[in-house]
Amino acid sequence: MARQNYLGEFELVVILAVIRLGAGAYGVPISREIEEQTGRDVAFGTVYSTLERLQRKGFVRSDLGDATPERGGRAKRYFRVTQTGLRTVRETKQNLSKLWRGLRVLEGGMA
Amino acid sequence: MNLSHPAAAWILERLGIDSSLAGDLLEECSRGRSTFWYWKQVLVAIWTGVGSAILAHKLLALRAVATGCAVNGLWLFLWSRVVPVNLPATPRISLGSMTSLLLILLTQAVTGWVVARTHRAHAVPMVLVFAVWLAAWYFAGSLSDASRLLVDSMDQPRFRIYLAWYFTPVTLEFVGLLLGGLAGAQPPGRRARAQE
Repeated sequence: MARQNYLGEFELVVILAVIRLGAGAYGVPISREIEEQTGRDVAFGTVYSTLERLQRKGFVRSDLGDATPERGGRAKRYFRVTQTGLRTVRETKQNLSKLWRGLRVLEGGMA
Repeated sequence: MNLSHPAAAWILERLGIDSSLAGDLLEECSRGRSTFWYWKQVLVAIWTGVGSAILAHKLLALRAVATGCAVNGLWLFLWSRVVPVNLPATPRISLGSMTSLLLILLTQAVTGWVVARTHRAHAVPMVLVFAVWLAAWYFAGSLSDASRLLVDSMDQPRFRIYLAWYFTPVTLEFVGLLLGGLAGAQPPGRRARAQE
């Protein structure tokens, strides 16, 4: 059950990265995806605390994968978006689009 | 892999931070990330992990402060009745002062251990809350002394030893609490089994 049904700015970035990566979404590719798509240098700790928050809200769930020697025997944690998460992302997009529409100052590449 | 990397991974896990995060950092290092990058990530992970654990469990944090105060109250009682702690106001290396400092370290380690054992799900973050509260209480009680010593030490080196002496008990309290907290925190495997 989601405690809050809205997404913060970085939460939206992280959940979109999880959706884009699909079944292979764990810490390393999620951070890389965010860096590549947004140009932001992100800390793994920040990504994990955001994912933990998203999990508490019921927007993503996680499962442990295999442990590998290069990870010091530690398992990967794979994240997957839930139906509630997908619905919230759609709603967020709609709300942002409504706010965006009709803002002439932001149309045509003008700042 | 750098020798310090497993140590950092151990610290992260003892702090209750997801072991997958430690694994991710080690994976990135095996692909050529620098030790500086690794430690920067570890520090951010500790900061955000501990911070979010405290923010998400404010009542637990209050309980940790109350528990720590209760245990320290017991120590204060024992110090006043059974084993007097006489720490001189001026720097003095003597058997009495060394015994007092050792007593502070050991008793605070026990306090940290008790706080960690009574807050097992977020042991070290809760011990840190109490340690910060205790340090704040210590400084609040002698803020004018601290600021005077700090100002004097800047231009007069002879005051630096007094400043160091002023900081010694609170530093030992902090270190003792952390060591006790780390010892009292459950190993990650056992914590995961307990949460199942």
